[in-house]
Amino acid sequence: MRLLFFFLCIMAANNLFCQPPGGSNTQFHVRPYLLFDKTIDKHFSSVPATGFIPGLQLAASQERNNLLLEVSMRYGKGTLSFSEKKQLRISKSLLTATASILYKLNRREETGSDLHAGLMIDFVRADKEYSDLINFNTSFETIASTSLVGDYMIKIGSNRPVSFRNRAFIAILSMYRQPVFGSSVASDSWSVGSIGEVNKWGDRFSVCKAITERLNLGLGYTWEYYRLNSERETISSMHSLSIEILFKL
Amino acid sequence: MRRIRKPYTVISICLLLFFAATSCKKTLQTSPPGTSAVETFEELWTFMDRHYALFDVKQIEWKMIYDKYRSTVTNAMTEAALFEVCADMLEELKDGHVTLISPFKTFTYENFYRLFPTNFNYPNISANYLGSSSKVSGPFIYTIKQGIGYLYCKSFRDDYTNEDLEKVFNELQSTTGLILDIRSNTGGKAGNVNRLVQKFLDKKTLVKYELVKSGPGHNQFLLPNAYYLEPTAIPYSNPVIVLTNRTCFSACNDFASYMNYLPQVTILGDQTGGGGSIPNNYILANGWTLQYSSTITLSADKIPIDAGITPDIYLNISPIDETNGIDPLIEKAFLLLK
Repeated sequence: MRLLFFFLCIMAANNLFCQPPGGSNTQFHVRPYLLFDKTIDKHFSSVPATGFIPGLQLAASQERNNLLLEVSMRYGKGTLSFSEKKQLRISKSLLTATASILYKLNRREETGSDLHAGLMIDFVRADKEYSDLINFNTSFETIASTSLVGDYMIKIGSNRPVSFRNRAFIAILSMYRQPVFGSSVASDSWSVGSIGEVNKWGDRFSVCKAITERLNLGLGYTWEYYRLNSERETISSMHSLSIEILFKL
Repeated sequence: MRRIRKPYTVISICLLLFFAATSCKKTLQTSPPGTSAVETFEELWTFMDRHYALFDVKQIEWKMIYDKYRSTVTNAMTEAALFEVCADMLEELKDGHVTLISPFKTFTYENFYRLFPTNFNYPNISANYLGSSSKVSGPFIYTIKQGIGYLYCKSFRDDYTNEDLEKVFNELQSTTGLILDIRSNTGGKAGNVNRLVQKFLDKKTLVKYELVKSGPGHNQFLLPNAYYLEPTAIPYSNPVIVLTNRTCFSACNDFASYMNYLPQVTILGDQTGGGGSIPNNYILANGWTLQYSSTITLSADKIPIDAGITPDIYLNISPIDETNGIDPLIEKAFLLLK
């Protein structure tokens, strides 16, 4: 409920402060997804643990003049296992929140394509529990990043009902927090890392078709990767397929 | 035609770049590490080098141990032979919390008790000391004779309820002294230890310090974290004699350490088996499971307890006593409490 409240607050703020004079061009996105996760937490093993994490992403976006503003929140929980030890289960939950502001680079409307570039602030919290191991059997990473984002969208067809969209990001500056090297207890401090210490990037591709004037449906594929090159090295590579449900206000 | 071709060209380029980026496995480094004999040995040694907490406490030169065993490992050797080399290397640590588990064999260091007299014969105790008047509550077996209580706690592994504990101490409250037998208790959960210790506290008591590794260096630790236990409503305040042997290990060793600092408590028997650290697990790339000591536990006066707790009174069971069904530790404890 707290997460939902937080999400609604962000959306409300977005609508209050970013409402264009001539009316809004606001869209709400609902994305149920299935994510395939491949994680290495070198405190527990150098062997990747893999599994599926189902979840839901909610997002709101608004175009205003040459700006595209978007906030999103995603939560999923699933079970991973090692290929060598199938019986050893890892419960993993993944929470992400993003806020991005992108500037429209192309000015020609008649091409049916839009190219945006800008910044994204995102927050990732991954919790892992190795329930079959003893004692310090939980771990987590919290990563807050500022990323460069590029977004390209093209609409095709006679009335342009079908849209393809590709958005890529790469983190340029991050703060992260993990447990203390030898335990499950959270470290007292946050660490700051730029590219190299925190490698984090992703790409999202989606195709949508307008069903009605206010409803678009489609499919999306997202690939994300992050690696904390800390003393407690953690790597996660995620592929997710989502159903895109887009409401236009 | 030109207007149609251009979007498809752009989409194609985007997709090409996208799949090129996402298929770059070498950069992403999520493929499993190698599992050859040499790679497995290196992985095991390196992980222990970074995570094992007791090198300095045990004064072990881990690099020298690497030099000793690395030369015996080749990729041509069998998995079983590699396991033997790894087990021999780990045995140098002389740590009962260090275990290596493969599908075909398990190594655990056991000489912390195997090289010493057992000093415990439960059938004798059951037949000659507990008798038919003994009662059972959770993991506790107890009896009262001549106003002195005898309480045997066989393990801290299985959880017990507060009702189990209250039932025992409601009856033992009337005794003038208590023999608390923790021999051959190989440990278990810290919570079970704490609740039993709390029955003997009359005030908030410092019981231990825990040192957690803060980095991969052998002496990289956070500052000692102090642990206190609170008393329960009605503590047992009469004299207590705790019976120990070398098989009292891990959480049992902690229990002996905590009780050792209480003024009404005497430790009688042999030194405990040690294991004063929190064990943790690691899965090697070839699927073997490693258990290792991940912390250092210090007693209330900041002495490492990994080597075991020294009793106030040393006493062993001779083979003749054992044959005759006599437990000199229980006999001595009765004499001291009378």
